[in-house]
Amino acid sequence: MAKTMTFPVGGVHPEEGKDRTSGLPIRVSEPPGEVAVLMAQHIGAPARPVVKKKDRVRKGQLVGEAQGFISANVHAPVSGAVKAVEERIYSVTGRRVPAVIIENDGQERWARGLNEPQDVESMEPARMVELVHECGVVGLGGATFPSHVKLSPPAETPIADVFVNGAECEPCATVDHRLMLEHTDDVVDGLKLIMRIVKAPNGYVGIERNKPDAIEAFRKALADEASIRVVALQVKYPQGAEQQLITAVTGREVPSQGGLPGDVGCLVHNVATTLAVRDAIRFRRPLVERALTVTGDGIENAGNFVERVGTSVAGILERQGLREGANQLILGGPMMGIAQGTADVPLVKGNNALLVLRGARIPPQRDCIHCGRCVEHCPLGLMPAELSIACEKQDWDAAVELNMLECKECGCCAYVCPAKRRIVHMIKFGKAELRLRKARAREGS
Amino acid sequence: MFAVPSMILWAIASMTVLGVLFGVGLVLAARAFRVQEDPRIDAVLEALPGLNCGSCGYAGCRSYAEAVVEGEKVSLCTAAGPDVTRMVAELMGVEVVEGARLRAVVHCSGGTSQCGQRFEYVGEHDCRAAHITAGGPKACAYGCLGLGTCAIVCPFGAIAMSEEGLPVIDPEKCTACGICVRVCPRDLISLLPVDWKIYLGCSTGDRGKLVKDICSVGCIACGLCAKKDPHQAIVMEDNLPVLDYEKAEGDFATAAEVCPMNCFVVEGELVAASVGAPGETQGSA
Repeated sequence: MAKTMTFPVGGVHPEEGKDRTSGLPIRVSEPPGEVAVLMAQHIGAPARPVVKKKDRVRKGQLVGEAQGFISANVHAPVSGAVKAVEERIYSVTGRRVPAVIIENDGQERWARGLNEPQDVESMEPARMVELVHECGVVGLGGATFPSHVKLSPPAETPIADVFVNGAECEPCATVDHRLMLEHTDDVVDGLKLIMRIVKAPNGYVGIERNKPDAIEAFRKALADEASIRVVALQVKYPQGAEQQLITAVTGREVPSQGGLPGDVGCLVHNVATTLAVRDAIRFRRPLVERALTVTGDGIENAGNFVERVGTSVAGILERQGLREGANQLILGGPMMGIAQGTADVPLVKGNNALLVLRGARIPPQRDCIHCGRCVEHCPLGLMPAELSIACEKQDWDAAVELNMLECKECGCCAYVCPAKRRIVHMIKFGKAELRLRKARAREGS
Repeated sequence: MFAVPSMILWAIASMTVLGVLFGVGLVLAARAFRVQEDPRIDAVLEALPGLNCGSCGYAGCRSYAEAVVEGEKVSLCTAAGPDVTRMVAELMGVEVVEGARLRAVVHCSGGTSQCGQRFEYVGEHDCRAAHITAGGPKACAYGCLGLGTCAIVCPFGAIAMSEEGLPVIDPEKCTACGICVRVCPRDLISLLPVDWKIYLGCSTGDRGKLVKDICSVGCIACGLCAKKDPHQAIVMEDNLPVLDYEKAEGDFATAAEVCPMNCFVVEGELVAASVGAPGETQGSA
């Protein structure tokens, strides 16, 4: 078990920046006086608001109903009165989406039937998935894919291997590390429940080697478990990407052109998601709060906190204190996080880190010198240099030819580029244009 | 001694014979493999401007010419204007019903001195790329981003960016090809008949209070234009007036006059020169 595993192609080693917060236990923050719960904070169809102004809501009560299978329910994170249903900025797209604004009455009263122990021993897997769906659980690593969809694999691709993704390869983020240390048994319990749902014989907990205490904790907790293995992973970004984790541990490769982990018999859930799935099944507790890391050299008091969904990011920053010269706010880590134009955004389920940089400066971009470093470091074996040039020329056909749609936007290419080219930005631009073109073609036909 | 000239003669003779033979062969081949093509295609192509701009919806002038001969409408070439349409119609022996000439207009008057920036944008210099980055740097989520993608794509050089960072469209050069309309990520450009001199210079969807905070020429949805319009041709929808040009016969002078925010654009000029930097926003390029 001493062997460390990793994916075969590409990857980078950014400065970790985790020391500042990895030793700080997770603290539960005071719930804010007002929350703004976005209806679109997951991948898939936005939820539809089911409350209106002046309605009284209890904690955990449904306020946004999932629309269709690939969508997620949204719940009231506090009890209180609905102040308004109006638009707020969604930090991932920067666009405004409908939100339910709730004024906290401080009562913390759960809606009836929620947050109570459930009879799990005799529960059918279908009921468990139903609870996960009902509780609005989505992927908390940042991608926010609805978890009940992942837990309902098609019959023709049975799941053999279930992973808890504890790699946390994103620099600066330490919240999964803390969760693994503080809730080791709960994570194992969540993993076992997921294995039971999809009837998988093998479980894995994948942890990067820079978290030896977490690896140790899981080895101890899993000493008598034959079916679950702790896997120590090499410290390399993006080790925590679903595909890279699967390849590192099993040697299997998720097929390109829209292949899913299920195609190679795998199912991956992030640590926080595994805990949320467990909470949903064991306690019927809707996803109304999440743990996140608040850090960066622009933050006075860094740490790991449990915050309610819908809390104002500006409020968190004010509470933790901004240092002089703080000029860049990123939701997520430095590699894949999304830079914000304003702090006036509500926290969403997918925010695993809140990073404030001081004196951040974006260097001017130069022409590609064809050094090939990006090609060397791309974990998917793409040619980012050629892709960025195709996107610059707005030759979208050429970009598709170069497999632009395979790109996961991990940012290794831009990280190593000596010409400081904004490769990921250009690829995002290209993808957006293609989506638009497809939408127009559909309209036209 | 004669070997050299005879060699030259031989060469000339053999080349001539070969030339004649190949010539005859080519003529025969041309007759045998001749492709019948409607001569009108070339005639139509000759009449078209040959810009290959694609505004007719076909891949280029030639494919449009082929389509015309197949029975496509003769008036699709907006790039060339009515004269060419008439020529093509003559070639095809059809009547043209002349519609009103269109030109593109911009439904945003919020230049840099009227509407600020939320943050500094340093990415790709393209409105579409800026639009997907944190919702775009413009304070107004609906306003012109000012990076000039419309001006870059215009095949006729009809769009210039003003110092205020707003596109200024030259109605003389504009052929209403619609490429700028498709490329604008905020859907701010539309094609209107040249006779309709007054149009709305705002596309906001925000409530009045918010608009007032971020833009000095934005529609605050007060509804005064709808109330005072003598033709009753304005209705308020999603915080913005919707103009019924047919009903008002293009006359929105009263509405433009009463608007407290000067949101209406009259012939490319703001109604009253009381806001921001007068005259600079909509110069005549």
